[in-house]
Amino acid sequence: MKKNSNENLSALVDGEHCSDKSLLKDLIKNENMKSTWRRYHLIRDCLRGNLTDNVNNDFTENLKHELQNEPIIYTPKITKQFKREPIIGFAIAASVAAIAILGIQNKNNIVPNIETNTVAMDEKIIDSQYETFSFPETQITPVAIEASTKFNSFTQQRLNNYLINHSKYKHNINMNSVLPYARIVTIESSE
Amino acid sequence: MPELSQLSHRSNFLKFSYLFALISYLFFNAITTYADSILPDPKNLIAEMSIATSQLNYDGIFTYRYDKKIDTMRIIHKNKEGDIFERLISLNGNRREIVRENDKVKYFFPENKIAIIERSKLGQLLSSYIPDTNQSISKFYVFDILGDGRIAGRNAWIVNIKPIDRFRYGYQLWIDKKSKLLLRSRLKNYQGVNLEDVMFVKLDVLEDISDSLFKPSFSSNNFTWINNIKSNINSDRAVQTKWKASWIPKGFLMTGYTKDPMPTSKIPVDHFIYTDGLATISVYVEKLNHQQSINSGTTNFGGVNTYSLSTNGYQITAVGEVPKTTVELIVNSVKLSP
Repeated sequence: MKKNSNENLSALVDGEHCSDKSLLKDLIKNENMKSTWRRYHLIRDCLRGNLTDNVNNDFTENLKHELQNEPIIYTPKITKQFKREPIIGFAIAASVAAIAILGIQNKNNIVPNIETNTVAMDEKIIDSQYETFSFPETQITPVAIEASTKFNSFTQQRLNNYLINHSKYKHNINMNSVLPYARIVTIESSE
Repeated sequence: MPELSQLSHRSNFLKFSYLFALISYLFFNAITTYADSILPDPKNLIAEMSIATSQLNYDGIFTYRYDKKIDTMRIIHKNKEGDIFERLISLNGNRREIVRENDKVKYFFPENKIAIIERSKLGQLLSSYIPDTNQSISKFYVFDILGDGRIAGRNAWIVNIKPIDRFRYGYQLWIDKKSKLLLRSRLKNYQGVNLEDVMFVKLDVLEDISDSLFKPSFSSNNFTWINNIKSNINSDRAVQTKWKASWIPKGFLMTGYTKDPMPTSKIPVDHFIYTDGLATISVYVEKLNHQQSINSGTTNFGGVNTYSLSTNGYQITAVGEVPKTTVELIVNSVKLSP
């Protein structure tokens, strides 16, 4: 048994794979085996001409001593990562959805840089019989777009009627004949 | 021996037949694949879509997504020897239905027990005012085939229609390669953000559809009927143009001026319509009663924006599938015609 153990230890020193895991456990615990381990290394280094001028047989002891004097570094406990992946995926999807929704709202409210030279204003003076209805010139100036106004129910109903009326004039049957009606189906009730 | 010879001939004949069938199949397949891969002209494709939408019989379910909402509806369409029958059914929320028989449209609102009869003017305006629709539209929109996709189990061409300025919206259409029906339609703003999305999830193109499917699913006996067809007779006549928008985006032409009755107004409302060939804008000028509250501001129904302005006893409202800025600028420029 001991012979086999020494043979395995020699193989281990030579860098060969050791299938006997108990050998490593014994090597850690058994002082005799540690001594043998050190001796084998010394022999190997001697045969290969790798010996230094000052051979220190207590290298492992010194190393052990150095390790004991090493400062302790506290690191956070590493948890398993695989459970996080679906959560991260969901979070990304939620973020994208939120960005998309916000993006639509923001982009809808962007006021384009309107070139005033494309606007052909009618400067003519209206007839005197219609003087009761005239627009101050400032009203023609484009104003900033505000968020959708909250109308009262009567005004909302009026707008719904306009939309229904508008849909019957929606000429572009070429594009989508369904859409004007789909909008009407989705009008919110005024009640 | 003669029998063996006959067998040999028959075997050769069979081999030749199989080979011929295989070559024919491969040839046909290659032609079909080649035909599918050739990019069609987007405007021709839209013209074909227009014909298919009107002439075919189909029954489908589509989703309508706008703002943060999504609705599901069923559309049944039938062409019976040139007469068009159509029924649109809301599948979630209120049980609303719209039934169209040629230009007569009935809107059913069961939650209010109201039914409205209107005369649709689809397709009546454009041809009489714009001689060459495609040519006119091409000045203000860029048409492209983006590629192909698949909607409701059907292979489709994707057509992109991009506006040249910020005063109008763009479209993205998925058109069925086989039937040429519209499978999906997206309304986009100038930045390319989707404002509305209509998409079929199921679509059956049928040889025939039963007439019984074009009747509403509920009794409308106790409904209050609002018949706008009779009252619209006057609106069909040419009326004197009283109001006019002094500013409209380039390419929009006035295609009609009417006086339309409205349930919320005692007197008919001045209504004039502009179109650039794709988008339509209606402008309404309504005389207000002293009791009526005055509201100004914007609102929207999916891709349709409205802007109202109350001034000097009149409420001016623009409604259209155009950006808010456009309807606002138009309303602010409305004046009495000199």
